[in-house]
Amino acid sequence: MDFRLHSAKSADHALEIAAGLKEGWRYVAGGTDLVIQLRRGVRKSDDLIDLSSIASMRGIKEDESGFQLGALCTHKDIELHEGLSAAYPALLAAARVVGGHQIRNVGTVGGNLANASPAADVAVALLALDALIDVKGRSGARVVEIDELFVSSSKTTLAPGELIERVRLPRLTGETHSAFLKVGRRKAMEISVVSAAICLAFGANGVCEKARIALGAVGPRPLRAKAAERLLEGAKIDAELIARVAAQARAECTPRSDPRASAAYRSQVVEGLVKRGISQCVRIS
Amino acid sequence: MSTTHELNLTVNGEEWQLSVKGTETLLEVLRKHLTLTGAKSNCLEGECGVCAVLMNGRVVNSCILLAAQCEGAQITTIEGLANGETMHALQTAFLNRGAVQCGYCIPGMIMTAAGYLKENPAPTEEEIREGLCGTLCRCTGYTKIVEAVQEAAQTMGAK
Repeated sequence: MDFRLHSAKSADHALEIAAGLKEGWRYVAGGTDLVIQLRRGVRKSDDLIDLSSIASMRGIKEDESGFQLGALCTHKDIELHEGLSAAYPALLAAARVVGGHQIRNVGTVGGNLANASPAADVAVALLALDALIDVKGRSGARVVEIDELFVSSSKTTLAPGELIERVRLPRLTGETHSAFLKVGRRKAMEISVVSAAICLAFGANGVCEKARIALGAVGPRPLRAKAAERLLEGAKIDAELIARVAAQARAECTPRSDPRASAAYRSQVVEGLVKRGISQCVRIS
Repeated sequence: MSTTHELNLTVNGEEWQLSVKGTETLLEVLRKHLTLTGAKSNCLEGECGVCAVLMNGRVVNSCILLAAQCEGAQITTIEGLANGETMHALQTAFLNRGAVQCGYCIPGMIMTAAGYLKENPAPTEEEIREGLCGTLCRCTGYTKIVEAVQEAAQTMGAK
């Protein structure tokens, strides 16, 4: 592991440092993925730009529009924030199953997104919650809808140099319920074999008005089962519909076999998780 | 290629001004610069937890944390957990319960428990098991470790 470490004082300072470096540099926040990759030699970087002391990228704020999470918020910050975890149970559930407490105290929400693992738990939950990502680059700031962020494993639509400043979660109105479920090979400290985050909004008559089904580790990126979502929207949910939606969600996945699980197993699991996740949201409503 | 960084660190109540390399981890600083060898150097991938220390009261894996990112931090290691000659309730409970076999994971296990009990002072057995999930004992001694943490939580709660 050999690199130069550059400490950024602000988001603009980080962009300025990045502009002066040769290709191959990386931003580092908590480092819980990056430091391991560098030490293993699976990734090489001559320069790291340390974002961890940028005060404006910390903290969780709440206003009428919803919640704003600084990109440097740790998984533990999410878990311990009562307002946030009460408003978005799926996010709480996802933040609580990432690594052990040691990792959750250091790993950040910005890193979870920028790392762009198809199996990233928090990213999957944020995808179901329609998060907006505030991104900053040399040419200015822009807002990226989370569904537009991921390309494939460790690839995002962020331009070179652009950094994630904060994540915004729109306030959920009325009868809206969310759930996050994960299957791993063991209970704790495990990368997801499959994960699913569901968010359903119900109208006064119990009809599902808006549905989000976000799935992890069943494709090259955290993905939404959009055709399955459309089956739910405008419908009164019953057991027969849940089974159809889960089968449709399964059909929208393109899982791969890897040392953690086979593609066939992932397909079966994802159908089960979608069923359970929807049932969980319906039961609460 | 590496850069050099001036680092202010409070370790077990003692203030240090150190000059560290950008590539050095907090674990390397503790073990090599400060000769505090209670935190162990093992998997170096954040999997096993035997390097666990408290940073600003929260448990972290010092093996994957870059030291230069710890500017101004308060670090507590197993060496600083006791209050002078008086052992911490966790240390007493681990002895009482015979929760130690080979002992290698115990500094990490105790620091992980210390961090978790700050967050949840009265945990159930299930919660303790989840709280310790990032720290591995390969002697398979979890039952007594969990009992020891339960006992320590009771002792600390009774004070």
